[in-house]
Amino acid sequence: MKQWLLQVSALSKLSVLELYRRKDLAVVFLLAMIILLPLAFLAPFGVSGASRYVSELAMLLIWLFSIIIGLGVSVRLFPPEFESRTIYPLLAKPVGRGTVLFGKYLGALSASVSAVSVFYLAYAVLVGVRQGEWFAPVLFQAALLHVGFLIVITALTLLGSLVMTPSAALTLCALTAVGMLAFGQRLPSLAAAQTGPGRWVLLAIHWIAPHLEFFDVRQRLVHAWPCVEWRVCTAVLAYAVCYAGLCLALAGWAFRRKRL
Amino acid sequence: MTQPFQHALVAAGAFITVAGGHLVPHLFPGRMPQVAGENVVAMLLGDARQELSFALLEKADDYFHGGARHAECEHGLSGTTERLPESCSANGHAHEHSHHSDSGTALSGRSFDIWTWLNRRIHVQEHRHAEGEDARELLPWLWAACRTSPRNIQAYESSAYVLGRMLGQPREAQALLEEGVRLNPESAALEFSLGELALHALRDPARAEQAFVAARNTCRPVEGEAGEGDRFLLGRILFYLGYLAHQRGDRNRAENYLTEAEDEVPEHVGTRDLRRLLNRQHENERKEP
Repeated sequence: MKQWLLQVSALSKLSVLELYRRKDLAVVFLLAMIILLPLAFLAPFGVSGASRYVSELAMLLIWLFSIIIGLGVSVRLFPPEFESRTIYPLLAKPVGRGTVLFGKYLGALSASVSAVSVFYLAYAVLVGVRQGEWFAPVLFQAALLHVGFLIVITALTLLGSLVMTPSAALTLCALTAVGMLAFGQRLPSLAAAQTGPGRWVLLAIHWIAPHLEFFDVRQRLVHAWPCVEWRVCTAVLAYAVCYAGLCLALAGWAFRRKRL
Repeated sequence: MTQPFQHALVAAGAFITVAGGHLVPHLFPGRMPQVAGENVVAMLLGDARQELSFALLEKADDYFHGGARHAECEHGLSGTTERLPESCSANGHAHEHSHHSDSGTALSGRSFDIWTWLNRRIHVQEHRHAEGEDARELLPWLWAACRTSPRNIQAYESSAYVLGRMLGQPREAQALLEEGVRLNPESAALEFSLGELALHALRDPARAEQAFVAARNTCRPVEGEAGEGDRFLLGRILFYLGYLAHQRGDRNRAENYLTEAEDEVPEHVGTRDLRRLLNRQHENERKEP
């Protein structure tokens, strides 16, 4: 067990190091600052004091960059190893395929979570300086649910990268993430408005696709609504773990059947 | 030898490009795809900026509702011709309409849908109205709506409303409406808003009358249903003009506006109120010795 943990931690450390070595985080952080800093000094019609628009744009950028980082990190876990054939010495250590898969997944998740933590910390400082409200409970909840989002999206992309080409996996997962965040909540009403096969397709998406909109509480955070009930929050995190578990089980099955 | 020749060639090319750029508008007047003096947003977006401007106005409306989108809510900044009533800002508490649980009503009514149940508990299902200093939060989106498309009359009206009435800054609202009038000289609605602002917030009847007269001159309702909105506006303009004439003791002018209102919009509530106002004056004059 101890050896298994050591193997998993070594594998995951590699993924985290790769994110920081590629300087993706620094680039997106700099980009966010370039966009947000001039906006923070806007005084529309000569009236200052508005702050929610900056919070909203900051949260939008955090979500956008977390999707980019989450997808980017997890889609690169296996294909480069297959291409450069470095997967052979890795499996010859000996490390089981399941251990490699889980270790790499954990690494991608840790890398994404660490990036998002930096963003949330910067957001907390921005809100604290502008509005004088430091680390509200709803901010913690938003960050926690964002981690839930990353748990699902990294597992889904990892599965995609094992069953299709990296570019196809990236496109499909990006479409799923954006589509579900935008329309996930309205799928039942959209299905009800349809007739024929369209209705059943939408219902199938509603029941099967990952409900990533569960993790998006930007509205509560920006407009200072109260927290989500903690039992609901726990249920949503349990959903994330179960969905990610299912994706990883399928990924493990695909990895085991893969001819190397 | 070659290098100086290349430099001269580059300089000549640059000169021809600049001269051509200046010459082309004079050679093809009125046939250029872009209008001189238009800003970058106008050139880049074209007619799409009107749509973008409406989207930004809707965003401001969402902010008015505490971040929630409620198209059916009767209190709003956009989507209705009659803007925010006074009762709305007094009603600042969070409340819920019967249509709030629209996501999945048709399906979840039959069976329990866990995903819809979770969504309803995660995403805010009620809304509240921005009031007082909270209205500042609407300004960035309203500002962006005005700047994206200066043709968006509703953006100017809503921005002036928020500045003048909700934030108590009528001077800024006046400046904005005057800018709107300058950019949309054909808009009677903006002149009317300027008149209302001058009368109610700035207590300047002379400026108000000037704006209402300008609004009267630009308001030309067309026949049929298409002109319904303009006819309603005309009724309000004529009421204010009659009222202001009555206030400064110009009875003939007030009677003239009433006659005009009875000809143009006889059923309008403003016409009825103006008639009542002038009749009351007649009665008072008769009673007095």
